[in-house]
Amino acid sequence: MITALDGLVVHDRSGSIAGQFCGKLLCDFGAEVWLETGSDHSDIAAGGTGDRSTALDLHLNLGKRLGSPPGPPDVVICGPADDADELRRNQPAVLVVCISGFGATGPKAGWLAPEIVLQAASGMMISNGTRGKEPLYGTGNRASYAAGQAAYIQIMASLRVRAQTGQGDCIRIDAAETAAAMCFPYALQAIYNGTDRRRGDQDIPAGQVLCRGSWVCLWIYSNRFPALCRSLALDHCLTDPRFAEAHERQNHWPAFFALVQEKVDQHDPDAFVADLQGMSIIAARAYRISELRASQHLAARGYWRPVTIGQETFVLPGPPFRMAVTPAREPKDKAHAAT
Amino acid sequence: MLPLEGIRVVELTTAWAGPMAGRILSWFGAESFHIESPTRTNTWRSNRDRPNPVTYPDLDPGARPWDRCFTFNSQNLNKRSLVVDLKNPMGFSVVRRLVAQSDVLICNFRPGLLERLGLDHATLSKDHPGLIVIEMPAYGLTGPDAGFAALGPTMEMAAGMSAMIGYPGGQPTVTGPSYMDPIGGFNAAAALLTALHHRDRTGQGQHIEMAQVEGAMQFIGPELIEGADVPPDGNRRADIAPHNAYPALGDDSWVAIAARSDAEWSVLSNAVGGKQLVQDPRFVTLAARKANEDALDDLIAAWTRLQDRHAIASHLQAIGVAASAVETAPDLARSDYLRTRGFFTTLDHPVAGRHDHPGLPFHSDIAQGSARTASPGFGEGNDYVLRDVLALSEAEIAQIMASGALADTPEPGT
Repeated sequence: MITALDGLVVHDRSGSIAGQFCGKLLCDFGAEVWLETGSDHSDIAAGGTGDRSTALDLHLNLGKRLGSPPGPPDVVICGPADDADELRRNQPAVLVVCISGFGATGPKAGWLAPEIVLQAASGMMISNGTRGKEPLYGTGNRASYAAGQAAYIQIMASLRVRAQTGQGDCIRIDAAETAAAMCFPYALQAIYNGTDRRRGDQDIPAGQVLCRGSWVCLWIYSNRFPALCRSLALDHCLTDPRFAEAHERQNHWPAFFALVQEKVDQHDPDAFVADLQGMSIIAARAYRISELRASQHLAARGYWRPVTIGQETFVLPGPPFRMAVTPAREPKDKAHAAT
Repeated sequence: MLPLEGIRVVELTTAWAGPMAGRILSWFGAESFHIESPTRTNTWRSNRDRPNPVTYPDLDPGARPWDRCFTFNSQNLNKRSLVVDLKNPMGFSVVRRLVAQSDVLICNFRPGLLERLGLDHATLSKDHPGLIVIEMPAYGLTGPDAGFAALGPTMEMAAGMSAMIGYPGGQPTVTGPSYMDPIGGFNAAAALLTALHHRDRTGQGQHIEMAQVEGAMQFIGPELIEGADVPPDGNRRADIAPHNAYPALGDDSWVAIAARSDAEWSVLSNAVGGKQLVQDPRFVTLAARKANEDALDDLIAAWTRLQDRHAIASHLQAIGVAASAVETAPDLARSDYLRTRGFFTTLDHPVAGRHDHPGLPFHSDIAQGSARTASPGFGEGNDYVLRDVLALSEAEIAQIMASGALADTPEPGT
């Protein structure tokens, strides 16, 4: 099988979710990635338990080799104790990658950066949840994953220059800056006119209803509103002064969705979503993890990647994108770092 | 040097995810053409509904409101706009010839569009084997849900994330209001740069399928592998306490605080309540703090409530406790941290004016990207494409213009 990054040697010394996710992407698309860990493997990934078959480790490190590469690497993903300048001096052609929370310089240099802090600093968190209650940070470690993805992108760009010049590089990614860059562009809106958008005041034509056992999110553009009303026998809404015109409707979505809720609480969520999509109304079910694992759509697409390690079989998520000529390596082709 | 100098990109995209992918490539120096329809305007130009003043500089829609939207103008830096009616044979011919001279084609519409247009990879690659085509449908190109339309919020629902976010017993919550679009944009850019790396070595282009929901699911990989449902619990986590946003001085003013170990709690508790709180047996261990989390949050909230959120965060970080003000958009716009980082670039837009523009988080010694030009006006690049890129004769240009294939004003209400 051809892989895009065949021949690229990476030394993953990061010990962090962001660094190891970056290393994982490089590994998935063909690089030879060497995972450096402490002697007791306790630092295998930030937030991990040191157990080398945890879900976190499997997700981040399956397919990486354990230890240091035998020769000079092309890419070093630094750990917190690494001196990037010294690494570059010693290996002028290497790409040195430093991923941190708030950077090594600047007014927040060295700030501790767990997920809730990154989301708070990003401008995103203030939009999550209900006005009057505390804003919500989200889930998991998504800002760290995004920082790893950003590092991967810059590595790919820098490799292009290195191929032409032979020069190495120092790549610096802040998770906090990455999270801010991924925030809805309210910062530019604030610059344009001082608007301060927060949770609850996004004027979007959307809402949620609870069907049988699952929530369904609907997004109702003006031109689809009549079709929705007719399909749910809510024709009276078309002449109700609260809903008849789009700009009035914007002020009364909760009242409208309360009417929808009365109609759909016994609907099958998947069937309801399919019906709505059939009417060109954008909708989706809020899947729980167990429901995703049982998804017929994902199964039909061959999304899940089972891998057996020892006596145990794990089911891994599929690759982030599917390349026709240089696909991601399958788990069966990989040696787990633990073996 | 800019790493993608000499690379030409054509974007059949709308809204955020696709333009974000093109924005990253143009950040790195690619010449990018955003193809727009004169009759189905990019939703981020806000041409469908009555102009809402909060969308525009100085709250003024101006004569060309579609050129002044903060949404469109945030994601299309460094690009050209070609407004073309693809149903017009002369318009289609312009795009077809532009793609023939390009390296990358990005499409973030539903499956089947490229085939219907005759711009699919299988067709184009016959004459152009080096072409890279990426399609970014929400649910993929195959499978029972492939034809479903989606937006960022519905993709977050479908990706399994929203069901894990919410107040206890409450409804699923969307992030930001859309976190999936930039994740999709990043994933697409990563895929394209990977494909360009392969092409640089082999000359071979390829087709890429980037199902945005699947790509985003990488961010919750461990939860998917474990396979167990994660009920929403506000900001609380099983492995950290305290871990929440606490009220601070001012309306809707909050500070996020997390003590990730007993040692961090010891430092935080000393700041909040002195030695007595440090020794309080209700909170000494993680298990004790989780068992008494309501009381714990109340204590911290009583301490934060009368203080400035930024001052609390700075103080706590200085003593080794993770904290941040929950920043607002105006906070970001004047952030010393982001400005020191070089996040903002001042750019002149001929219709929207001179403003700072938020950037991208990629930093490099040898391959630094940049924001060089503001987002294009509607059809700003029409003439450039015809004359400079395709080098058409004046007679053909006149014929194309007479056919109505190109436009520089969107049809009202579209």
